[in-house]
Amino acid sequence: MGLYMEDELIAKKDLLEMTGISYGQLYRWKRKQLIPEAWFIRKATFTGQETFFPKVKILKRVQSISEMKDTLSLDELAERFSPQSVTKIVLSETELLDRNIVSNATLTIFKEFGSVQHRFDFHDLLAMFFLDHMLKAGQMNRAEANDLLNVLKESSHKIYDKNSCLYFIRKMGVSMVFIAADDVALYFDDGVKVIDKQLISAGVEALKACIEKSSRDEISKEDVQS
Amino acid sequence: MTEEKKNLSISGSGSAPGGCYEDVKISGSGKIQGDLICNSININGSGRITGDAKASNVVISGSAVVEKRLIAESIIINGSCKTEEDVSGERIQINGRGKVLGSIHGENVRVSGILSVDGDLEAEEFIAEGPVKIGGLCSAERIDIALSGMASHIKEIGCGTLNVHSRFTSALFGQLLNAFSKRKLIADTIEGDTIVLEDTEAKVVRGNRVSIGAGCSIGRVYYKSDYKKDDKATVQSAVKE
Repeated sequence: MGLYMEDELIAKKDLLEMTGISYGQLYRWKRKQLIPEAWFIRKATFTGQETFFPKVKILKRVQSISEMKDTLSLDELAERFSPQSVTKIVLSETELLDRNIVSNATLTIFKEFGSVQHRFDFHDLLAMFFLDHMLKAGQMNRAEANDLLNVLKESSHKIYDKNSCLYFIRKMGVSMVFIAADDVALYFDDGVKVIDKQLISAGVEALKACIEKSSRDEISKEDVQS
Repeated sequence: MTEEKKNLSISGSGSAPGGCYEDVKISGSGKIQGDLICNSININGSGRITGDAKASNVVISGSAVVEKRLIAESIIINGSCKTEEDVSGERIQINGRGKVLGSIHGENVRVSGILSVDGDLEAEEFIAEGPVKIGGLCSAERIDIALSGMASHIKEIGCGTLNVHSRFTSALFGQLLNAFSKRKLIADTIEGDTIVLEDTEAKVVRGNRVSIGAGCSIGRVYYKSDYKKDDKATVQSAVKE
């Protein structure tokens, strides 16, 4: 699927033809919120108004639903795909390291920043996940790590289900981390360098997949997510 | 938490603050300021709730206005009810007149009165015997629409099975009535697995099995497995996909 462009769209009828699902199923999944409202994109075409979907996302989602719908009820599936379901995840320090979700160095920085704790909820995990990513990419130093953790701790839980975006920018050696609550275009002056830009929702998905994968490895079940 | 919740009863004319109650009853004219959470709401006279209304059971026999959302397990509207935001409930029955400026989310929605929804209507089962007007998408596993005197308008329909039929089909009395009534369903697009239509005007109909009955006027039909058309229906084009 890596061949498709990120924002390529697929028309509803092509989607149904390609995946073999019916109109009834599609609408049922929409009602159960297995497919987010935001993925239904309306466009005017020469045959009237038609609905399109983000191709990569919808194909992956339809595949996941089709694979899991025999073992889970639609309500259970809805829970799984809901952006809120992740908030129930809590991991201990050992689980975190054993499962290779973040590195030891990241965990140390996180613990220096916040209170001493041994169990981490999803907000903490997400913050560490982003931090880990940026530290590993060599984009961020430890002082900046505090800025990142600060903004994530304060705000990320408010914007899980939105299309929000995390920015890390630097100008003349001064760095800044902020979150835009929507995926909007931002225009900076020439001196500003955007060092990293991460969609929060993508981070949530990636972390969820990472946690699910490691839990599955433990119970040696087949991989269903990716 | 063993605090006992009080009942609220307004007879005559009065207003009360919102909050948590057991049973709320308005018999005269009453106004509740703010959000209301309770076991049951019973409005016989006229009532206005200026916030959200949440309850297990709601029965409105008089007239009511909810200025925000209406959320309940069971909602029965015998009189008239206007909700300015969304309505959600497992069982929603509208025998009188319902007006929703937001959307409706329900399991089982039945309309024998008049319903108008500005947004979407989502349900597992939607049965309408009276005229409905839906500004957005009407989506349900099973939709059954019996057309009567007035025209129904639904912008989009998406469903498992859809059955649109006229209430009086064969009786002589019915045929006489047909000559005068404007009963029909007017929709932009209809999509579903099994679609059976009568007296329907639509621009596009897409489905697996499509049956276009008497009195229909359809722009384009796209079907997968079956297609039937009555002689008394007009279809501009039908394409097997």
